[in-house]
Amino acid sequence: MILLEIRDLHATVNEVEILSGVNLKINSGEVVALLGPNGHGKSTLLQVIMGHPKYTVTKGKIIYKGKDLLKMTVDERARAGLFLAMQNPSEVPGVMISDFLRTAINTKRERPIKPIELFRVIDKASKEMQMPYDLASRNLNEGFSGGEKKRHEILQMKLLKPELAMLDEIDSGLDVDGIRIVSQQINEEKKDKTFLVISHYARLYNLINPSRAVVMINGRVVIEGDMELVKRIDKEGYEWIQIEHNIDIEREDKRPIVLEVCAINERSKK
Amino acid sequence: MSIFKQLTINKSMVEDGILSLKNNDVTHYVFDEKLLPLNVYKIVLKAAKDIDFVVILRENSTLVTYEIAPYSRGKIMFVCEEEDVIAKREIHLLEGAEINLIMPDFYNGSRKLNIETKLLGRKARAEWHLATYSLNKDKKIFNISFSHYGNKSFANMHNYGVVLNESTLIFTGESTIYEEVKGAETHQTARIIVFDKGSHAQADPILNIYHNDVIAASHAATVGQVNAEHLYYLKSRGLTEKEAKQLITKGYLMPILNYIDDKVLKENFTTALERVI
Repeated sequence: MILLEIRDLHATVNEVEILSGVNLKINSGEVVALLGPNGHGKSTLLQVIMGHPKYTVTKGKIIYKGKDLLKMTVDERARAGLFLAMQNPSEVPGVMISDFLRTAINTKRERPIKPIELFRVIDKASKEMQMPYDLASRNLNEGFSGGEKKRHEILQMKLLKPELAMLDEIDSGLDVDGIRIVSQQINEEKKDKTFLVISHYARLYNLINPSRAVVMINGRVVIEGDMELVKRIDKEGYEWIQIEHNIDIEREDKRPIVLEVCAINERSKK
Repeated sequence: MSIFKQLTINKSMVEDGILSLKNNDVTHYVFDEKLLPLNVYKIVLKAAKDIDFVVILRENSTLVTYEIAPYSRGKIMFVCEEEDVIAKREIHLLEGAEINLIMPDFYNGSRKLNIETKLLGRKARAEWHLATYSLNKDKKIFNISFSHYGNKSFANMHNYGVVLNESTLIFTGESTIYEEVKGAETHQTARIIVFDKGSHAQADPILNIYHNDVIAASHAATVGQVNAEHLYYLKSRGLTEKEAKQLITKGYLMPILNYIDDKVLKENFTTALERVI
């Protein structure tokens, strides 16, 4: 069954086009690896699916479980079963994790969760993620290390039970143990979830064994394959795609690099 | 039950317009300014052990001064009830006095409060924490000032507020270090979140430094909308815009309650805040 279908999706940020006609279908139960050079639209694609207000969709459609996703607000998308583990999760000052998790869990329940049950589920998930027991009384991501933030994203995924979990560079900032714990949890959750996973490293993909791999270049999906594709990119990079598939890989930053002194402000005033 | 009791004033406490409160009188007592005898203009708090005192501010045309005796320490909480209040107060700190001034203002009603803390003695230290909201077209104005007269005096001011429903919230923070005052330090922070276009928020930090031998002086003021990234993050977890804003507001104003030890008082403030947000 097709869970998510993206058709000719174009999106801009500050009037610069980042997505230039993405086509992608994801079936229920798949684990899709999303690869591509930096600055070619992977994170943007995930943010647009989730509904980040910074991006404007100029053309195309996203169909999720038969519904027009672009007509739904961010929170409606989340309640419909989407989840995005962010690359840089926000630190929200003063918001206690237990308050936040209770409200988030309750959005999917008819009757609010009882305090004792909430304590139990947070405690269990914290143990599985090997996060400190006092987690619930801390503020949301405030003062968390990079690794703690990433573990906390997976902890939220476990508690919120989405149907489609999108993970944006979940392995960046994680140490060896962190990657092991996170990949273990992903493997456990695979039985009832669909995954779309961005990573630059074969290490994570080797551990979670994706069923399919897609590569985004120049704001489009250009190649699809399997684990072999991941392995080749890990070994050879992206240059070969340019030659074999006749695609010109546009550079992330087309501006020439200029070395200057810091007196630039004074000079530019003249 | 709260450990705080209502303070009753007897005649022996008042002399020449000065109400003297000592030791047990200032620990775990709530003082309602309604009960202030007409001729009293100054209240002196003196305690070797910790002052833990609550003042219910009432509209009053005379200038009332709270004086902290030398080397007395502790905290005073100022609260307003659900009514309009216009009041002018001074807090005087004598030598070595250290006081934490806390004002969780989680009730409706307009305010115009001028509270000046004078650090009169050497090594006097004061911290000020205000958390408030303004809604239902209320107009809340807080003029909070610190005046350093004592050498090596220290003051730190924190004003936090949220404004919504076409209301007004103004913080003016003025810190002054006078001439001849050596080694003083003064800081202030003001932050206001504005939820809707019809509301008016203003934070005016003022620093007057008349001496160059100052340890440090700083101010920070921000007035703005809810951080869009924070809102997006919470919404991406299924929270509605309203729920997300409620959590953010609560997270913004609640930390002041960390300064309150009494469970009942703390719960009362939590309920008062949850009732409106």
